[in-house]
Formats: sequence, structure tokens, C-alpha cells
Amino acid sequence: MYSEKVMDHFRNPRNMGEMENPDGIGRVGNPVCGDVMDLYIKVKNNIIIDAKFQTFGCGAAIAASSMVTELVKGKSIDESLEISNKAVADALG
Amino acid sequence: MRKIYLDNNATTPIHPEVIKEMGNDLEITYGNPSTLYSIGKEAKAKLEEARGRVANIIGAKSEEIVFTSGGTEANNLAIFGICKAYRNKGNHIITSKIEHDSVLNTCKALERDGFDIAYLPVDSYGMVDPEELKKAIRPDTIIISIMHSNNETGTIQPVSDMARIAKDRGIPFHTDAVQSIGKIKVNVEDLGVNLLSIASHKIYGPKGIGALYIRKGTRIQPILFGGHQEKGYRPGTENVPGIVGFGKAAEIADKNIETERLARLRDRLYNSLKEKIERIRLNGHPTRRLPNTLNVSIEFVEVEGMILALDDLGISVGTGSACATDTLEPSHVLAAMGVPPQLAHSTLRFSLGMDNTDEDIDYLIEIFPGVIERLRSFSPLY
Ligand SMILES: Cc1ncc(COP(=O)(O)O)c(C=O)c1O
Repeated sequence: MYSEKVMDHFRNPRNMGEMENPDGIGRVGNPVCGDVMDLYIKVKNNIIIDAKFQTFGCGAAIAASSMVTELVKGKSIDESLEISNKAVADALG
Repeated sequence: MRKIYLDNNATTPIHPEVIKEMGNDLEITYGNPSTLYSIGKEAKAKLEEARGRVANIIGAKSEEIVFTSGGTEANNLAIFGICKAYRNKGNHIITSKIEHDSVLNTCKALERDGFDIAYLPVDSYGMVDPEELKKAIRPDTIIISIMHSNNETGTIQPVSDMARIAKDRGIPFHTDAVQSIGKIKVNVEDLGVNLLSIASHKIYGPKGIGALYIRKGTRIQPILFGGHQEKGYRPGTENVPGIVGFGKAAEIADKNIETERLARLRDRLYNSLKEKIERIRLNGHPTRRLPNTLNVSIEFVEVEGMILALDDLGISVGTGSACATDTLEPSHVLAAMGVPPQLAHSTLRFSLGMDNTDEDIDYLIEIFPGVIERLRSFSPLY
């Protein structure tokens, strides 16, 4: 059902956990629907230098969260805003 | 890697003796039971032997058993079949909110055809109150269908009390006993039901075969049309290998009901997990429950993560309802019991079976708390 890449990100999520002193925090989802994601970022000179996440959700939600943190790191805020659902899905193969 | 199967309410492995008996049937008694020559008559004899074995496990007479393609078809035949026979008497059906989809969706289909359905509520243990049934009965009620035990929580309903109420009003009573057979003693005389559904693949038999018990004298119409097989209640050339396997499985299950052993393993599992994991709660009745079923909510972790992580460790467990796995809707059973949706998303069902041992439970107790700790570290809610 899940691709190897999804399973890899589920088994070994990258950048998982809370961040101390983040520059930005976002929460999406709702526990009632079964999905909540917290995303933390650290920004320097308009570049995301670190990202971390915590997710309550299915295997795909955890893998997607993990992949997003990988995708935004090193990008500018504007570039990060351009990352679409499809880009995450494509990155997870 | 150690393999531990703990989803026996979804389906059971096939008993080796059942495989042997089916193999024999496929090879030697392949005849059509409706024919007159000896290979057909042998098949007919096998069919009737199996019917007797299935009747035996519920204390019924052979002629009260109609073979179907499984639990789903047995439930469809019971409800549609009674509604067709009693159409002139009324159009009111009573069922409960926690039935299996094969009952609920049958009722919904009838609702679209103009029938009126009462879905009885349950308490926080998932139990229907017979007083609620009394209140719901109307002069035009033509069938009552309440499951014997629930597939997700294992809660056992007070079926004999409810069947008595139905009998006093002259209303046919059907019970879906798919999950109870083979796990606890079920007897149609003690229960006093008119109709009862059974599925072979929950009692170590093959898939795609089941039966409906129809008490002698019950008025019911078929829902499939064709030949004279199963006295016209279920036409079509019989699935003889399936029926033979089902019969063997019933014979074995009748002798080997393991109520105490399974309850002991299950309770040991729950008591240990409760000690090692905080914020875990039991869903279902503490005592009036199938001996093999443990349904627990483990706060702050989503169920799919638990299933995938356990699968990586060789352990198969269920979400409670296979259908909910596709839709990602929280379980209608837990919702009816008042379990909040967030907790329903964190619910896992362990259902034990004949192959499970003390060593399996020890292994699970050893590794499960670590799995939960890891998954909780992912969770923003923890
Ligand atoms: C309570 C209950 N009723 C009916 C069914 C359907 O049986 P089958 O899969 O044989 O159609 C199941 C299991 O799938 C069940 O658990």
C-alpha cells in the first residue's frame, strides 16, 4: 500500500521532535479528524536553516511531515511557500 | 522474525485438519450433490454431514441450516427475506447502532425502499438495553436484528432477554452471531431466536462460506432465485469443499472452545499494558465480553502508526473494523458508545485465537510499551 520511501520516512522520520526557541510555529489539522501537524522553523536572513515537526496522524501523514521538513530546509520563505502538495507527494515517490 | 497473529476477529487461520478434509473433498468427492450417480450422492452425503456439524455447534436441527456465501449473505437473507415475507404486515425494522455493516447497510437499503428503521442506542460499554427495545416496538414492526457480540469491542448483548420480548409480540428475531460462534457457547434454544448468522472464516474454516439458522416455522422468502438447492432458500450449485471445510471447522470448534485460556491471556495482556503505559483505556464491557477480544484506546497515538510499527515487529493487530481502515472514518461502534473521535483514532483491537501462547503475550508486553513511547514522541498532542 505505501511506497518504500513513505515507509522509510515513517520508520525513520527526519527532523522529528519539538524545537527550542523556534522563529515560527504552525499547526494544521484537528485531532477529531485524526490529523494534527506542528511544524517549527528557524530562520536566518530569510532562509529556513532548520525545521522540525511533530505529527499525530497516519503513516502517510508522518512521512509527509518528515519530507516537508527536508524540502524546506535551506530554502527562502518565499520558495517554501511555493512547495505544493504535489511536490511533497512526488518527493515521496 | 517471530510472527504473532492477533487479529482473529477479522479472520482466523485455517485449521490443518480442515485443510486436509477440504483437500480430500476437492480430489475425491467432486460430484454435484444434485445428481443421481454415486459420486454425486457421496458429495450429497458430505454436504449433509457438514450441515449436521454446523447445526450441532448451535444446538439446532440439520434442516434449520441454510448454507450461504458467508456472514454478509446470511445477514442479507435474514433481513431482506423476512421483510419480503412480512411486507403486508408492516414496514418497521429494529436494529442497533453498533451492528456490522452487513446488517446496517442492508437496513439502509431497505430504508431507501421505504422501510422505517429504528437504530437502538448503546450504553458506554456498547450494550443495548432491552427496555429500549420494548419502547421501540410498534404494531408494524416486522423484524428485530441485534448482534450477539460486537466484532470491535467483543461486548455480548442480552440476546435471550430481547428475543423473549420479540417472541411475546410475535416478531421474528435475528442475531448476527458471527463473532460469538467458537468463542463462547451459543445455543439457539437458550437464546430463543428465529434466525442466527454464522461465518466459517471466523472459526478456523475457509472464507466465502457461512450459514443462516432459520428456526422451523419461520416465514422467510429467498433473495436469490434459481434451482432447488438449500430448499430454494439459497439456489445455486453448492460450494461443497467450502461447506465440508466449514463443517469440519464447526466440529472442531464445538469441542475446543477455549473461553478460559483466551480470557486469561487477554487479561494478562491488558493488566500488564495498563501498568506500563499511561493513558490507556479499555473499550467494551469489562466482563460481558468475548474472551479473546481486547479493544483499547491509547491516547495521543494514531492507530495506523501503531499497526505499521507492530507489523514491522511481526505482529498483526486490527483497528477494530476492517472497513474503517479504508474510509478513515472513526468507528461507528465507538461513536455510539460515546468515545470521543480523537480517542477513536487511537484505538487498537487485539483479538486472540487458538495459535496464541503465553510466549506471544510475553513478547508483546515486552515490546509494545517501547513502540508507544516512540510514537508518542512523534505526537504534538502528547
Ligand atoms: C459481526 C460480523 N458480522 C458479519 C460479518 C461478515 O461476515 P463475512 O465476512 O463472512 O461476510 C463479520 C466479519 O466480517 C462480522 O464480524
